[in-house]
Amino acid sequence: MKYGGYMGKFLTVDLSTGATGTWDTPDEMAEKYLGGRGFIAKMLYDRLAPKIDPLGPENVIIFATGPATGTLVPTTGRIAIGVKSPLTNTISASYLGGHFAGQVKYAGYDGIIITGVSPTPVTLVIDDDRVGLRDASGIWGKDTKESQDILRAELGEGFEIGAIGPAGENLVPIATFMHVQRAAGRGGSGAVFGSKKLKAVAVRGTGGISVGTPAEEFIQGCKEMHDIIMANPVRPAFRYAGTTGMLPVMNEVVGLPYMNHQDDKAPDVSFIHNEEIYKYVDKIESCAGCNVFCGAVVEFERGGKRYRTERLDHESTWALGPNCGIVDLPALMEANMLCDYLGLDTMSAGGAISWAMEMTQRGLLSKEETDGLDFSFGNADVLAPAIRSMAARQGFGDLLARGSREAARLVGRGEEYAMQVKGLEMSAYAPRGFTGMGLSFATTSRGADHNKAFTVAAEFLGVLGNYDRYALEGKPHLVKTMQDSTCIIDSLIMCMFTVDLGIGIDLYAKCAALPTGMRFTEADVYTVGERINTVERLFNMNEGFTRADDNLPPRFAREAAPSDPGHHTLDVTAVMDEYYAEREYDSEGVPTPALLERLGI
Amino acid sequence: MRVEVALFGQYSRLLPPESKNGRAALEVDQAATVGRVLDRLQIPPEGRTYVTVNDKHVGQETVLSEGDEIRVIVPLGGG
Repeated sequence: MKYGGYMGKFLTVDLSTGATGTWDTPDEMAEKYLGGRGFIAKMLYDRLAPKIDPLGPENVIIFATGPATGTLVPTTGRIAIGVKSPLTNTISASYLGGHFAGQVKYAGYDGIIITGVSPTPVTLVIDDDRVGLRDASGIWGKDTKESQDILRAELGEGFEIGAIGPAGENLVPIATFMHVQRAAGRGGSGAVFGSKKLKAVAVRGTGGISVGTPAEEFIQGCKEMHDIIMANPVRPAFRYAGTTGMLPVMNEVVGLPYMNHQDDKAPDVSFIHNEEIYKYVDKIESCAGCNVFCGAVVEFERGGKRYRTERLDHESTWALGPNCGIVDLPALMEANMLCDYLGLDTMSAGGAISWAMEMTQRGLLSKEETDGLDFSFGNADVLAPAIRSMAARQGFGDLLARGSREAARLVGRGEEYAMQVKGLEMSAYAPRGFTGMGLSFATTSRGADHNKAFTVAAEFLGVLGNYDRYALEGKPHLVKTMQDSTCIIDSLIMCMFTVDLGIGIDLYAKCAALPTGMRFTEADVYTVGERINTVERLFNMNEGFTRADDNLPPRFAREAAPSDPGHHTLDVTAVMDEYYAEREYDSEGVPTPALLERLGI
Repeated sequence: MRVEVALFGQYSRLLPPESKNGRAALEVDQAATVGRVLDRLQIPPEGRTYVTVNDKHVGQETVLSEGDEIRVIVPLGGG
């Protein structure tokens, strides 16, 4: 490997045979795909035959770091985990922070490629170059917290650990892989671990990372980024409010979906105002190498018990709260904690529950069908039992566990009330209120992922120009631009919040050049982004996705949000031709030969 | 005259103690500007990048009217 920042090899693990080895990271893959999400796109596209069963033996789990991971570049404590998603059947990369990512590189690897199926439950233990599979039958069945605690005690000092919970073991398609209470994440990667009987991964590394820029220049460059973040006025907001700071604002401007997207404004969000959540905070935390500290530990009481757990993040707060009409903050904290310990995606869990709530509201689901659980909007007491039954796949929980779209298909009605795209549940940004977000949800490779083009920055905060948030004019270009520029963050890998903290495209380019020693310009940011998005789309095309899948649920074109004085509806198909033209796809949404040639795919 | 102020993020702590959830009604002079109100609340310069009056992004020299709603936004996009 001729570039700095990389370790030059992936660890390979075949769970069927227990064999481990290495695979050299190609120079060309580094140049064209950079790392993280880019590596996952390229590697899964190359390695997976079309239409494999995501929960079958042919799926591959790829852990991928980026060249900046574990270095002094700020906010580089995150790792990407890629699979073919059992929820969406698309390619899917999830990210988690904490302290896991750096250890993989310090142990000597750019990532881990996991194939096959273990005959019995195992933990993958990586201790520098000593790699082995350890019997996990003692922790199989235990939740993610207990599993990690046990392993930490058994393995000793210095290991960072991630595990699936009962949800992943039970092959729940919305299950997560958890490192402490950091979740990777959407799309059901936890179920893929479960299908392979891979319960946990523990890694300790004691090596260093060689960078491709002379030391003093490297340190100076990192310090420049660090200082920009430290001076930015949004940084204290993260420390104070966590990630939920904008929820009340979004609600005020009729941009916060309420009751399964029936409206875009909740009557009362005082319970999730920054000040309210702050009352529960005991201490703040950050991921490795991050100076932002958006994390916190909270203490709360519910049902006569006291709990100490991670503070809720923005999307989790929304998905279990306003999305379900629920205003009970301790109930949300308990539900979030349960999702983390059982290993379930809070957003898809919330979206499945809110679907059940709308079905109940409309008389389309009876209490007999829901095992007597009361799925009325606003019923905070349904969250915990619903989440437990989903993780255990019991009764009605077994339907909800599949996600809202599949649950609707299984009951044979109500699919129009499943607020999802390509199977992935939608998020806290109202498409009718921010049409760019709607277009992004419709076209992003793994479905309604709010982290692939945060157009709210342009549509609401005036970054990148003046946009009418309700209009579709200019949105195809905006969405393409942001979908492309987001890839660098996902590939370096840095934290998405750096976007809010003064790091622009020119600086992301520098964050690529500094560790690698590559010449990397702003133009390269966009080219690499185009390439990654295009490969992801090719993967999906091979899976049978078509133009018809690039759409939102019918509600948005049919109904305006009652709280919107402008009565706006949204039909993203009206600009799909324009979006495909921007992307250089043909009219069916297939990447053109000219595009593939230009990008060297 | 009366205006409504909504502050978010860490700035919500700068409102008078009787305010709730980052909102307060303030009595200000006729022809008060946005900048003067923010001065009074001690919002630092770096916190004044995203200020709206009645949902429109404005500059600090904007003159206020009775019943105007000022919002100081901290632009953190959650996840």
